[in-house]
Amino acid sequence: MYFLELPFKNLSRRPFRAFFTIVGISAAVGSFIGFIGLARGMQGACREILVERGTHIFAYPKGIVDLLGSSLDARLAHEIASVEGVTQVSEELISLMELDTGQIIFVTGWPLQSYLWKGVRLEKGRLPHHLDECAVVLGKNIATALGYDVGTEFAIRGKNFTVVGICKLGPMARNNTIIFPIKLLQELTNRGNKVSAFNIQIESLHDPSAIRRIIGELSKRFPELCFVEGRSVSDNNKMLQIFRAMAWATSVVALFIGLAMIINTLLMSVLERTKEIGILKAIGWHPLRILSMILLEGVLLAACGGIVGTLLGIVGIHWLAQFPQVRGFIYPLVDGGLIMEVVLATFALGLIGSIYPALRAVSLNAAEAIRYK
Amino acid sequence: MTELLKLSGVSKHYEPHIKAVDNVSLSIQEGEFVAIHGPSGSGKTTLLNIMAGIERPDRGEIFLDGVEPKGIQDWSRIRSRHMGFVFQAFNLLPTLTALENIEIRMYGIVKGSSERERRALDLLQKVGLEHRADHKPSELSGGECQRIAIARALANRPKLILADEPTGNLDSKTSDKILELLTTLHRSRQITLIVVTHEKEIASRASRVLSYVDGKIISDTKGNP
Repeated sequence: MYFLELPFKNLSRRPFRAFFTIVGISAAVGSFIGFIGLARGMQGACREILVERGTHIFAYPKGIVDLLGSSLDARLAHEIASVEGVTQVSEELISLMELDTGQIIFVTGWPLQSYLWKGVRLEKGRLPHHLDECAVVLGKNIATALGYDVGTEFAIRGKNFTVVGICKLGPMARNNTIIFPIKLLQELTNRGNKVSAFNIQIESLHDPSAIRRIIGELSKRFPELCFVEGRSVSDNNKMLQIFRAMAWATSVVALFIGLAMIINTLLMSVLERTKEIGILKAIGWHPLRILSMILLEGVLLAACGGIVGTLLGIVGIHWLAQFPQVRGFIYPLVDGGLIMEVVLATFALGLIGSIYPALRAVSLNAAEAIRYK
Repeated sequence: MTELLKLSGVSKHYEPHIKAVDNVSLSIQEGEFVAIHGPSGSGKTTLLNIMAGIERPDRGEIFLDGVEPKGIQDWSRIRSRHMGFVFQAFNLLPTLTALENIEIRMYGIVKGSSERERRALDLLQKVGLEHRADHKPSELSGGECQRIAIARALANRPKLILADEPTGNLDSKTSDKILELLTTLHRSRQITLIVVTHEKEIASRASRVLSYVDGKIISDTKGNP
Protein backbone atom coordinates (compact mmCIF):
# COMPACT_ATOMS: atom_id res chain seq x y z
CA MET A 1 0.00 0.00 0.00
CA TYR A 2 1.35 3.41 -0.96
CA PHE A 3 1.44 6.12 1.68
CA LEU A 4 -0.72 8.27 -0.59
CA GLU A 5 -3.53 5.71 -0.31
CA LEU A 6 -3.89 6.35 3.41
CA PRO A 7 -5.54 9.80 3.15
CA PHE A 8 -8.13 8.27 0.76
CA LYS A 9 -8.84 5.50 3.22
CA ASN A 10 -9.04 7.90 6.14
CA LEU A 11 -11.48 10.20 4.37
CA SER A 12 -13.59 7.37 3.00
CA ARG A 13 -14.35 6.05 6.48
CA ARG A 14 -16.77 9.00 6.86
CA PRO A 15 -18.04 9.25 3.30
CA PHE A 16 -20.97 11.56 4.03
CA ARG A 17 -18.85 14.00 5.99
CA ALA A 18 -16.21 14.01 3.27
CA PHE A 19 -18.91 14.37 0.61
CA PHE A 20 -20.56 17.36 2.25
CA THR A 21 -17.21 19.01 2.89
CA ILE A 22 -16.40 18.58 -0.80
CA VAL A 23 -19.82 20.05 -1.66
CA GLY A 24 -19.04 23.06 0.54
CA ILE A 25 -15.62 23.57 -1.01
CA SER A 26 -17.13 23.13 -4.48
CA ALA A 27 -19.66 25.86 -3.72
CA ALA A 28 -16.87 28.14 -2.51
CA VAL A 29 -14.68 27.45 -5.55
CA GLY A 30 -17.68 27.66 -7.90
CA SER A 31 -18.58 31.06 -6.43
CA PHE A 32 -14.97 32.18 -6.83
CA ILE A 33 -14.96 31.14 -10.49
CA GLY A 34 -18.38 32.67 -11.04
CA PHE A 35 -17.76 36.06 -9.45
CA ILE A 36 -14.23 36.55 -10.69
CA GLY A 37 -15.12 35.17 -14.13
CA LEU A 38 -17.96 37.66 -14.38
CA ALA A 39 -15.84 40.57 -13.19
CA ARG A 40 -13.16 39.74 -15.72
CA GLY A 41 -15.77 39.21 -18.41
CA MET A 42 -17.23 42.66 -17.77
CA GLN A 43 -13.76 44.15 -17.84
CA GLY A 44 -12.91 42.31 -21.05
CA ALA A 45 -16.16 43.35 -22.70
CA CYS A 46 -15.62 46.98 -21.75
CA ARG A 47 -12.13 46.87 -23.24
CA GLU A 48 -13.44 45.11 -26.35
CA ILE A 49 -16.14 47.70 -26.93
CA LEU A 50 -13.71 50.59 -27.06
CA VAL A 51 -11.16 48.68 -29.11
CA GLU A 52 -13.81 47.58 -31.61
CA ARG A 53 -15.19 51.06 -32.05
CA GLY A 54 -11.70 52.38 -32.72
CA THR A 55 -11.54 54.66 -29.70
CA HIS A 56 -7.92 55.28 -28.80
CA ILE A 57 -8.49 57.64 -25.89
CA PHE A 58 -11.62 57.87 -23.79
CA ALA A 59 -12.42 61.09 -21.93
CA TYR A 60 -14.86 61.47 -19.06
CA PRO A 61 -15.28 63.82 -16.09
CA LYS A 62 -12.86 63.40 -13.21
CA GLY A 63 -14.38 62.03 -10.02
CA ILE A 64 -17.34 60.41 -11.76
CA VAL A 65 -17.91 56.81 -10.76
CA ASP A 66 -20.91 56.16 -12.95
CA LEU A 67 -20.90 57.49 -16.53
CA LEU A 68 -24.71 57.60 -16.44
CA GLY A 69 -24.40 60.59 -14.13
CA SER A 70 -21.79 62.35 -16.22
CA SER A 71 -22.67 65.66 -17.89
CA LEU A 72 -20.18 67.48 -20.09
CA ASP A 73 -20.52 70.41 -22.46
CA ALA A 74 -20.59 68.98 -26.00
CA ARG A 75 -18.65 72.01 -27.30
CA LEU A 76 -15.53 70.67 -25.62
CA ALA A 77 -15.31 68.23 -28.54
CA HIS A 78 -14.04 70.99 -30.86
CA GLU A 79 -11.44 72.10 -28.35
CA ILE A 80 -10.23 68.54 -27.85
CA ALA A 81 -10.04 68.07 -31.62
CA SER A 82 -7.75 71.07 -31.84
CA VAL A 83 -5.02 69.35 -29.80
CA GLU A 84 -2.07 68.25 -31.91
CA GLY A 85 -2.17 64.55 -32.76
CA VAL A 86 -5.95 64.19 -32.29
CA THR A 87 -7.67 63.24 -35.54
CA GLN A 88 -11.29 62.72 -34.56
CA VAL A 89 -13.50 63.30 -31.54
CA SER A 90 -16.97 61.90 -31.04
CA GLU A 91 -19.36 62.88 -28.30
CA GLU A 92 -21.30 60.14 -26.57
CA LEU A 93 -24.33 60.31 -24.32
CA ILE A 94 -25.21 57.32 -22.20
CA SER A 95 -28.36 56.78 -20.20
CA LEU A 96 -30.80 54.24 -18.81
CA MET A 97 -34.38 54.67 -19.98
CA GLU A 98 -37.73 53.05 -19.50
CA LEU A 99 -39.69 52.16 -22.61
CA ASP A 100 -43.40 52.93 -22.56
CA THR A 101 -43.88 49.18 -22.36
CA GLY A 102 -42.02 49.15 -19.03
CA GLN A 103 -38.65 47.63 -19.91
CA ILE A 104 -35.54 49.42 -18.67
CA ILE A 105 -32.75 49.58 -21.21
CA PHE A 106 -29.37 51.14 -21.86
CA VAL A 107 -29.38 53.84 -24.50
CA THR A 108 -26.46 55.57 -26.12
CA GLY A 109 -26.28 58.50 -28.50
CA TRP A 110 -23.69 59.44 -31.12
CA PRO A 111 -23.59 62.30 -33.61
CA LEU A 112 -24.77 61.18 -37.06
CA GLN A 113 -21.36 61.97 -38.53
CA SER A 114 -19.44 60.16 -35.74
CA TYR A 115 -16.78 57.60 -36.64
CA LEU A 116 -18.37 55.35 -34.00
CA TRP A 117 -21.09 54.28 -36.46
CA LYS A 118 -18.41 52.68 -38.62
CA GLY A 119 -17.81 50.08 -35.91
CA VAL A 120 -21.45 49.00 -35.91
CA ARG A 121 -21.78 45.66 -37.69
CA LEU A 122 -25.32 45.56 -38.96
CA GLU A 123 -27.16 42.28 -39.09
CA LYS A 124 -30.23 43.83 -40.63
CA GLY A 125 -31.31 47.20 -41.95
CA ARG A 126 -29.23 50.35 -42.09
CA LEU A 127 -27.86 53.17 -39.99
CA PRO A 128 -29.89 56.36 -39.30
CA HIS A 129 -29.49 58.97 -42.07
CA HIS A 130 -31.05 62.10 -40.59
CA LEU A 131 -32.72 63.30 -37.43
CA ASP A 132 -36.24 63.70 -38.85
CA GLU A 133 -36.79 60.00 -39.33
CA CYS A 134 -36.41 59.36 -35.53
CA ALA A 135 -34.43 56.23 -36.41
CA VAL A 136 -32.50 54.05 -33.99
CA VAL A 137 -30.34 50.92 -34.15
CA LEU A 138 -30.93 48.07 -31.72
CA GLY A 139 -28.43 45.62 -30.35
CA LYS A 140 -29.26 42.05 -31.31
CA ASN A 141 -29.96 40.86 -27.77
CA ILE A 142 -32.24 43.70 -26.86
CA ALA A 143 -34.06 43.32 -30.19
CA THR A 144 -34.61 39.63 -29.44
CA ALA A 145 -35.63 40.32 -25.85
CA LEU A 146 -38.12 43.00 -26.89
CA GLY A 147 -39.27 41.14 -29.98
CA TYR A 148 -38.47 44.12 -32.21
CA ASP A 149 -37.33 43.96 -35.81
CA VAL A 150 -36.41 46.43 -38.51
CA GLY A 151 -39.43 48.65 -39.06
CA THR A 152 -40.82 48.23 -35.55
CA GLU A 153 -42.03 51.42 -33.96
CA PHE A 154 -41.88 51.97 -30.23
CA ALA A 155 -42.32 54.83 -27.81
CA ILE A 156 -40.23 56.37 -25.05
CA ARG A 157 -41.77 59.15 -22.99
CA GLY A 158 -44.53 59.42 -25.58
CA LYS A 159 -42.16 59.99 -28.51
CA ASN A 160 -42.15 57.43 -31.32
CA PHE A 161 -39.00 55.91 -32.77
CA THR A 162 -38.41 53.47 -35.60
CA VAL A 163 -35.95 50.59 -35.62
CA VAL A 164 -33.94 50.95 -38.85
CA GLY A 165 -31.13 48.53 -38.06
CA ILE A 166 -30.10 45.66 -35.80
CA CYS A 167 -26.46 45.20 -34.77
CA LYS A 168 -24.69 41.92 -35.26
CA LEU A 169 -23.24 39.99 -32.33
CA GLY A 170 -20.40 41.92 -30.85
CA PRO A 171 -19.40 43.23 -27.49
CA MET A 172 -21.86 43.17 -24.65
CA ALA A 173 -23.06 46.77 -24.59
CA ARG A 174 -23.73 46.85 -28.32
CA ASN A 175 -26.10 43.93 -27.98
CA ASN A 176 -28.12 45.42 -25.17
CA THR A 177 -28.21 49.03 -26.21
CA ILE A 178 -30.42 51.17 -28.36
CA ILE A 179 -28.21 53.52 -30.35
CA PHE A 180 -29.68 56.94 -31.06
CA PRO A 181 -28.47 59.90 -32.99
CA ILE A 182 -27.20 62.02 -30.09
CA LYS A 183 -29.50 65.00 -30.76
CA LEU A 184 -32.58 62.79 -30.41
CA LEU A 185 -31.30 61.36 -27.14
CA GLN A 186 -30.40 64.79 -25.77
CA GLU A 187 -33.95 65.97 -26.47
CA LEU A 188 -35.42 62.81 -25.00
CA THR A 189 -33.39 63.11 -21.78
CA ASN A 190 -33.64 66.90 -21.53
CA ARG A 191 -29.87 67.15 -21.70
CA GLY A 192 -29.53 69.60 -24.56
CA ASN A 193 -25.92 69.92 -25.69
CA LYS A 194 -24.72 67.69 -22.86
CA VAL A 195 -22.71 64.51 -23.31
CA SER A 196 -21.38 61.76 -21.04
CA ALA A 197 -17.94 61.25 -22.57
CA PHE A 198 -15.73 61.78 -25.60
CA ASN A 199 -14.24 59.12 -27.84
CA ILE A 200 -10.97 60.27 -29.33
CA GLN A 201 -8.91 58.94 -32.24
CA ILE A 202 -5.28 59.91 -32.65
CA GLU A 203 -2.61 59.72 -35.34
CA SER A 204 0.20 57.76 -33.71
CA LEU A 205 -1.73 54.79 -32.37
CA HIS A 206 1.26 52.46 -32.27
CA ASP A 207 3.67 54.87 -30.67
CA PRO A 208 3.27 54.61 -26.87
CA SER A 209 5.32 57.74 -26.25
CA ALA A 210 3.13 59.72 -28.64
CA ILE A 211 -0.01 58.43 -26.89
CA ARG A 212 1.43 59.43 -23.54
CA ARG A 213 2.34 62.84 -24.91
CA ILE A 214 -1.15 63.43 -26.31
CA ILE A 215 -2.81 62.23 -23.09
CA GLY A 216 -0.46 64.53 -21.13
CA GLU A 217 -1.32 67.47 -23.36
CA LEU A 218 -5.05 66.78 -23.13
CA SER A 219 -4.87 66.40 -19.35
CA LYS A 220 -3.07 69.74 -19.11
CA ARG A 221 -5.56 71.52 -21.35
CA PHE A 222 -8.64 69.93 -19.77
CA PRO A 223 -7.90 69.34 -16.08
CA GLU A 224 -11.56 68.66 -15.32
CA LEU A 225 -11.44 65.55 -17.57
CA CYS A 226 -9.87 62.17 -17.20
CA PHE A 227 -8.16 60.80 -20.34
CA VAL A 228 -7.55 57.08 -20.48
CA GLU A 229 -6.14 54.94 -23.26
CA GLY A 230 -8.96 52.92 -24.84
CA ARG A 231 -7.63 49.50 -23.87
CA SER A 232 -7.06 50.64 -20.24
CA VAL A 233 -10.52 52.10 -19.67
CA SER A 234 -11.78 48.89 -18.13
CA ASP A 235 -8.93 48.97 -15.60
CA ASN A 236 -9.73 52.55 -14.64
CA ASN A 237 -13.50 52.29 -14.68
CA LYS A 238 -14.68 52.92 -11.13
CA MET A 239 -17.86 50.89 -11.54
CA LEU A 240 -15.88 47.93 -12.78
CA GLN A 241 -13.37 48.43 -9.99
CA ILE A 242 -16.19 48.35 -7.44
CA PHE A 243 -17.69 45.29 -9.10
CA ARG A 244 -14.31 43.62 -9.15
CA ALA A 245 -13.69 44.47 -5.50
CA MET A 246 -17.12 43.11 -4.55
CA ALA A 247 -16.48 39.98 -6.56
CA TRP A 248 -13.16 39.47 -4.77
CA ALA A 249 -14.68 40.18 -1.37
CA THR A 250 -17.53 37.74 -1.95
CA SER A 251 -15.15 35.12 -3.29
CA VAL A 252 -12.82 35.51 -0.33
CA VAL A 253 -15.76 35.07 2.06
CA ALA A 254 -16.78 31.94 0.13
CA LEU A 255 -13.24 30.60 0.31
CA PHE A 256 -13.11 31.30 4.05
CA ILE A 257 -16.25 29.24 4.48
CA GLY A 258 -14.53 26.45 2.54
CA LEU A 259 -11.49 26.84 4.78
CA ALA A 260 -13.62 26.61 7.92
CA MET A 261 -15.22 23.43 6.58
CA ILE A 262 -11.84 21.82 5.97
CA ILE A 263 -10.61 22.77 9.45
CA ASN A 264 -13.80 21.49 11.04
CA THR A 265 -13.78 18.21 9.11
CA LEU A 266 -10.14 17.48 9.80
CA LEU A 267 -10.32 18.51 13.45
CA MET A 268 -13.23 16.12 13.96
CA SER A 269 -11.35 13.46 12.06
CA VAL A 270 -8.21 13.94 14.19
CA LEU A 271 -10.30 13.86 17.37
CA GLU A 272 -12.00 10.64 16.29
CA ARG A 273 -8.64 9.12 15.43
CA THR A 274 -6.85 10.18 18.60
CA LYS A 275 -6.20 6.58 19.59
CA GLU A 276 -5.05 5.62 16.09
CA ILE A 277 -2.67 8.55 15.93
CA GLY A 278 -1.32 7.46 19.31
CA ILE A 279 -0.78 3.95 17.91
CA LEU A 280 1.04 5.33 14.88
CA LYS A 281 3.31 7.30 17.18
CA ALA A 282 3.88 4.27 19.37
CA ILE A 283 4.89 2.07 16.44
CA GLY A 284 7.46 4.67 15.44
CA TRP A 285 5.88 6.94 12.87
CA HIS A 286 7.90 10.12 12.57
CA PRO A 287 5.92 13.25 13.55
CA LEU A 288 6.44 14.60 10.02
CA ARG A 289 4.77 11.52 8.58
CA ILE A 290 1.70 12.05 10.76
CA LEU A 291 1.74 15.74 9.80
CA SER A 292 1.94 14.96 6.11
CA MET A 293 -0.87 12.38 6.35
CA ILE A 294 -3.28 15.01 7.75
CA LEU A 295 -2.04 17.69 5.33
CA LEU A 296 -2.62 15.31 2.43
CA GLU A 297 -6.15 14.68 3.65
CA GLY A 298 -6.78 18.43 3.59
CA VAL A 299 -5.24 18.87 0.17
CA LEU A 300 -7.21 15.89 -1.12
CA LEU A 301 -10.50 17.32 0.16
CA ALA A 302 -9.67 20.70 -1.34
CA ALA A 303 -8.57 19.16 -4.64
CA CYS A 304 -11.83 17.21 -5.02
CA GLY A 305 -13.82 20.32 -4.10
CA GLY A 306 -11.67 22.40 -6.42
CA ILE A 307 -12.20 20.16 -9.44
CA VAL A 308 -15.96 19.87 -8.91
CA GLY A 309 -16.25 23.57 -8.05
CA THR A 310 -14.31 24.67 -11.12
CA LEU A 311 -16.51 22.59 -13.39
CA LEU A 312 -19.65 23.81 -11.63
CA GLY A 313 -18.45 27.41 -11.81
CA ILE A 314 -17.67 27.26 -15.53
CA VAL A 315 -20.87 25.43 -16.44
CA GLY A 316 -22.90 27.58 -14.04
CA ILE A 317 -21.96 31.02 -15.30
CA HIS A 318 -22.21 29.99 -18.95
CA TRP A 319 -25.62 28.52 -18.22
CA LEU A 320 -26.73 31.69 -16.42
CA ALA A 321 -25.45 33.82 -19.28
CA GLN A 322 -27.89 32.09 -21.64
CA PHE A 323 -31.00 33.39 -19.87
CA PRO A 324 -32.75 36.11 -21.89
CA GLN A 325 -33.02 38.30 -18.77
CA VAL A 326 -29.25 38.53 -18.44
CA ARG A 327 -28.03 37.64 -21.91
CA GLY A 328 -25.45 40.17 -22.89
CA PHE A 329 -25.39 41.81 -19.46
CA ILE A 330 -23.18 39.14 -18.02
CA TYR A 331 -20.19 38.10 -19.99
CA PRO A 332 -18.31 35.19 -18.39
CA LEU A 333 -14.60 34.94 -18.93
CA VAL A 334 -12.91 31.85 -17.50
CA ASP A 335 -9.43 31.60 -18.91
CA GLY A 336 -6.31 29.62 -18.07
CA GLY A 337 -5.13 32.35 -15.74
CA LEU A 338 -8.27 32.18 -13.64
CA ILE A 339 -8.14 28.39 -13.52
CA MET A 340 -4.51 28.56 -12.41
CA GLU A 341 -5.51 31.01 -9.67
CA VAL A 342 -8.25 28.61 -8.58
CA VAL A 343 -5.80 25.69 -8.51
CA LEU A 344 -3.38 27.68 -6.34
CA ALA A 345 -6.16 29.02 -4.11
CA THR A 346 -7.58 25.53 -3.63
CA PHE A 347 -4.19 24.04 -2.87
CA ALA A 348 -3.55 26.80 -0.34
CA LEU A 349 -7.04 26.24 1.10
CA GLY A 350 -6.34 22.56 1.69
CA LEU A 351 -2.90 23.19 3.11
CA ILE A 352 -3.86 26.07 5.40
CA GLY A 353 -7.05 24.32 6.49
CA SER A 354 -5.18 21.22 7.54
CA ILE A 355 -2.20 22.83 9.29
CA TYR A 356 -3.94 23.30 12.64
CA PRO A 357 -5.54 19.81 12.73
CA ALA A 358 -2.21 18.31 11.65
CA LEU A 359 -0.33 20.13 14.38
CA ARG A 360 -2.95 18.97 16.89
CA ALA A 361 -2.37 15.40 15.74
CA VAL A 362 1.41 15.72 16.00
CA SER A 363 1.24 17.27 19.46
CA LEU A 364 -0.87 14.43 20.89
CA ASN A 365 0.75 12.57 23.75
CA ALA A 366 1.13 9.02 22.46
CA ALA A 367 0.58 7.33 25.83
CA GLU A 368 -2.58 9.34 26.53
CA ALA A 369 -3.78 8.97 22.94
CA ILE A 370 -3.52 5.17 23.11
CA ARG A 371 -5.66 5.18 26.24
CA TYR A 372 -8.24 7.48 24.56
CA LYS A 373 -11.70 5.98 24.13
CA MET B 1 26.17 -10.56 26.06
CA THR B 2 26.03 -6.81 25.49
CA GLU B 3 23.79 -4.38 27.28
CA LEU B 4 20.84 -3.33 25.14
CA LEU B 5 18.78 -1.24 27.51
CA LYS B 6 19.74 0.57 30.67
CA LEU B 7 17.57 2.57 33.03
CA SER B 8 19.29 4.68 35.65
CA GLY B 9 17.32 6.27 38.51
CA VAL B 10 14.15 6.59 36.42
CA SER B 11 11.07 8.03 38.12
CA LYS B 12 7.63 8.97 36.93
CA HIS B 13 5.02 10.40 39.25
CA TYR B 14 1.39 11.21 38.55
CA GLU B 15 -0.60 13.74 40.53
CA PRO B 16 -0.97 13.89 43.40
CA HIS B 17 1.14 11.16 44.99
CA ILE B 18 1.10 8.20 42.61
CA LYS B 19 4.58 6.86 42.00
CA ALA B 20 4.21 4.77 38.83
CA VAL B 21 7.97 4.42 38.50
CA ASP B 22 10.06 5.15 41.54
CA ASN B 23 13.80 5.49 41.06
CA VAL B 24 14.13 2.36 38.94
CA SER B 25 17.55 1.27 37.71
CA LEU B 26 18.01 -1.86 35.64
CA SER B 27 20.02 -3.27 32.82
CA ILE B 28 18.73 -5.63 30.12
CA GLN B 29 21.11 -7.63 27.97
CA GLU B 30 20.66 -8.46 24.30
CA GLY B 31 18.68 -11.66 23.75
CA GLU B 32 17.08 -11.77 27.20
CA PHE B 33 13.44 -12.63 27.79
CA VAL B 34 12.43 -10.46 30.71
CA ALA B 35 9.06 -10.55 32.41
CA ILE B 36 8.01 -7.58 34.48
CA HIS B 37 5.52 -9.10 36.82
CA GLY B 38 3.27 -7.31 39.24
CA PRO B 39 -0.29 -6.55 40.19
CA SER B 40 -2.58 -4.28 38.18
CA GLY B 41 -1.95 -0.60 38.85
CA SER B 42 1.63 -1.11 40.00
CA GLY B 43 3.02 1.04 37.14
CA LYS B 44 4.27 -1.73 34.84
CA THR B 45 2.80 -0.19 31.68
CA THR B 46 4.28 3.21 32.54
CA LEU B 47 7.70 1.57 32.95
CA LEU B 48 7.30 -0.14 29.56
CA ASN B 49 6.18 3.13 27.94
CA ILE B 50 9.24 4.86 29.39
CA MET B 51 11.49 2.12 27.98
CA ALA B 52 9.92 2.78 24.56
CA GLY B 53 10.11 6.56 24.86
CA ILE B 54 6.33 6.83 24.61
CA GLU B 55 6.32 8.51 28.01
CA ARG B 56 9.09 10.72 29.33
CA PRO B 57 10.32 10.14 32.88
CA ASP B 58 10.35 12.97 35.39
CA ARG B 59 13.86 11.95 36.39
CA GLY B 60 16.53 9.52 35.36
CA GLU B 61 18.26 8.40 32.19
CA ILE B 62 17.62 5.72 29.59
CA PHE B 63 20.31 4.28 27.34
CA LEU B 64 19.84 2.10 24.28
CA ASP B 65 22.99 0.42 23.02
CA GLY B 66 24.87 2.79 25.31
CA VAL B 67 23.34 5.91 23.74
CA GLU B 68 20.84 8.21 25.41
CA PRO B 69 18.11 9.19 22.92
CA LYS B 70 17.31 12.89 22.81
CA GLY B 71 13.90 14.17 21.90
CA ILE B 72 10.84 12.89 20.10
CA GLN B 73 12.55 12.38 16.75
CA ASP B 74 15.28 10.17 18.21
CA TRP B 75 12.69 8.08 19.99
CA SER B 76 10.43 7.72 16.97
CA ARG B 77 13.44 6.59 14.92
CA ILE B 78 14.38 4.04 17.58
CA ARG B 79 10.82 2.76 17.88
CA SER B 80 10.45 2.38 14.14
CA ARG B 81 13.84 0.73 13.50
CA HIS B 82 14.83 -1.10 16.66
CA MET B 83 11.68 -1.79 18.70
CA GLY B 84 8.42 -3.58 18.25
CA PHE B 85 5.43 -2.93 20.47
CA VAL B 86 2.67 -5.42 21.27
CA PHE B 87 -0.33 -4.04 23.14
CA GLN B 88 -2.89 -5.76 25.31
CA ALA B 89 -5.74 -4.36 23.16
CA PHE B 90 -3.90 -5.23 19.90
CA ASN B 91 -4.27 -1.61 18.69
CA LEU B 92 -4.61 -2.40 15.00
CA LEU B 93 -6.02 0.30 12.76
CA PRO B 94 -9.64 -0.70 12.14
CA THR B 95 -9.90 0.64 8.57
CA LEU B 96 -6.86 -1.25 7.31
CA THR B 97 -6.55 -4.90 6.44
CA ALA B 98 -4.21 -7.26 8.29
CA LEU B 99 -1.65 -6.85 5.51
CA GLU B 100 -1.89 -3.06 5.49
CA ASN B 101 -1.60 -2.90 9.29
CA ILE B 102 1.79 -4.55 8.97
CA GLU B 103 2.82 -2.53 5.92
CA ILE B 104 2.25 0.88 7.52
CA ARG B 105 4.98 0.19 10.06
CA MET B 106 7.50 -0.08 7.24
CA TYR B 107 6.94 3.40 5.75
CA GLY B 108 10.20 5.25 5.57
CA ILE B 109 12.18 2.11 6.42
CA VAL B 110 11.43 -0.32 3.61
CA LYS B 111 11.43 1.30 0.19
CA GLY B 112 8.87 0.31 -2.38
CA SER B 113 5.27 -0.73 -1.99
CA SER B 114 5.83 -4.20 -3.45
CA GLU B 115 8.74 -4.92 -1.11
CA ARG B 116 6.67 -3.83 1.88
CA GLU B 117 3.83 -6.07 0.72
CA ARG B 118 6.17 -9.01 0.20
CA ARG B 119 7.62 -8.63 3.68
CA ALA B 120 4.20 -8.21 5.26
CA LEU B 121 2.94 -11.39 3.55
CA ASP B 122 6.04 -13.20 4.73
CA LEU B 123 5.36 -12.10 8.30
CA LEU B 124 1.71 -13.12 8.04
CA GLN B 125 2.87 -16.52 6.91
CA LYS B 126 5.20 -16.74 9.91
CA VAL B 127 2.32 -16.08 12.30
CA GLY B 128 0.11 -18.46 10.33
CA LEU B 129 -2.34 -15.88 9.01
CA GLU B 130 -1.50 -15.51 5.34
CA HIS B 131 -5.07 -16.52 4.48
CA ARG B 132 -6.38 -13.56 6.52
CA ALA B 133 -4.28 -10.91 4.74
CA ASP B 134 -7.25 -9.02 3.33
CA HIS B 135 -9.37 -9.12 6.44
CA LYS B 136 -9.93 -6.13 8.65
CA PRO B 137 -9.47 -6.41 12.43
CA SER B 138 -13.25 -6.48 12.97
CA GLU B 139 -13.36 -9.72 10.93
CA LEU B 140 -10.67 -11.42 13.00
CA SER B 141 -10.64 -13.13 16.40
CA GLY B 142 -8.68 -11.70 19.35
CA GLY B 143 -5.94 -14.26 18.91
CA GLU B 144 -5.62 -13.49 15.21
CA CYS B 145 -5.49 -9.77 15.93
CA GLN B 146 -2.70 -10.28 18.44
CA ARG B 147 -0.75 -12.44 15.98
CA ILE B 148 -1.06 -9.65 13.42
CA ALA B 149 0.08 -7.16 16.08
CA ILE B 150 3.13 -9.39 16.66
CA ALA B 151 3.78 -9.55 12.91
CA ARG B 152 3.55 -5.73 12.83
CA ALA B 153 6.03 -5.51 15.72
CA LEU B 154 8.44 -7.71 13.75
CA ALA B 155 8.08 -5.76 10.52
CA ASN B 156 11.28 -3.72 10.73
CA ARG B 157 13.30 -6.59 12.20
CA PRO B 158 13.65 -5.03 15.65
CA LYS B 159 16.22 -5.97 18.30
CA LEU B 160 13.70 -5.53 21.06
CA ILE B 161 10.04 -6.36 21.47
CA LEU B 162 8.05 -4.75 24.26
CA ALA B 163 4.78 -6.52 25.01
CA ASP B 164 2.23 -5.03 27.37
CA GLU B 165 -0.04 -7.76 28.75
CA PRO B 166 -0.04 -9.46 25.33
CA THR B 167 -2.50 -12.14 26.45
CA GLY B 168 -4.65 -9.94 28.67
CA ASN B 169 -7.60 -9.97 26.26
CA LEU B 170 -7.34 -13.62 25.22
CA ASP B 171 -8.65 -16.96 26.50
CA SER B 172 -6.15 -19.37 28.00
CA LYS B 173 -5.80 -21.56 24.93
CA THR B 174 -5.13 -18.60 22.65
CA SER B 175 -2.84 -17.08 25.28
CA ASP B 176 -0.70 -20.22 25.17
CA LYS B 177 -0.41 -19.98 21.40
CA ILE B 178 0.57 -16.31 21.52
CA LEU B 179 3.17 -16.95 24.23
CA GLU B 180 4.51 -19.86 22.24
CA LEU B 181 4.81 -17.60 19.21
CA LEU B 182 6.61 -14.88 21.16
CA THR B 183 8.94 -17.42 22.79
CA THR B 184 9.74 -19.02 19.45
CA LEU B 185 10.48 -15.66 17.87
CA HIS B 186 12.69 -14.73 20.80
CA ARG B 187 14.67 -17.94 20.46
CA SER B 188 14.84 -18.18 16.69
CA ARG B 189 15.65 -14.52 16.01
CA GLN B 190 17.54 -13.72 19.20
CA ILE B 191 15.14 -10.86 19.81
CA THR B 192 15.21 -9.31 23.25
CA LEU B 193 11.74 -9.66 24.69
CA ILE B 194 10.30 -7.64 27.56
CA VAL B 195 6.82 -8.69 28.63
CA VAL B 196 4.73 -6.88 31.18
CA THR B 197 2.23 -9.18 32.86
CA HIS B 198 0.30 -9.80 36.01
CA GLU B 199 0.02 -13.54 35.25
CA LYS B 200 2.50 -15.85 36.95
CA GLU B 201 2.28 -18.49 34.22
CA ILE B 202 3.54 -16.06 31.64
CA ALA B 203 6.29 -14.77 33.89
CA SER B 204 7.38 -18.34 34.49
CA ARG B 205 8.35 -18.69 30.81
CA ALA B 206 10.82 -15.80 30.99
CA SER B 207 14.55 -16.13 31.53
CA ARG B 208 14.43 -13.30 34.02
CA VAL B 209 11.56 -12.07 36.17
CA LEU B 210 11.39 -8.60 37.68
CA SER B 211 8.77 -8.34 40.40
CA TYR B 212 7.30 -4.90 40.32
CA VAL B 213 5.19 -3.36 43.05
CA ASP B 214 4.23 0.29 43.56
CA GLY B 215 6.72 1.58 41.06
CA LYS B 216 9.69 -0.39 42.41
CA ILE B 217 11.48 -3.54 41.37
CA ILE B 218 11.35 -5.60 44.51
CA SER B 219 13.08 -8.68 43.12
CA ASP B 220 15.11 -9.66 40.08
CA THR B 221 15.27 -13.43 39.61
CA LYS B 222 16.49 -15.75 36.93
CA GLY B 223 13.79 -17.94 35.46
CA ASN B 224 13.90 -20.48 32.65
CA PRO B 225 17.15 -20.40 30.70
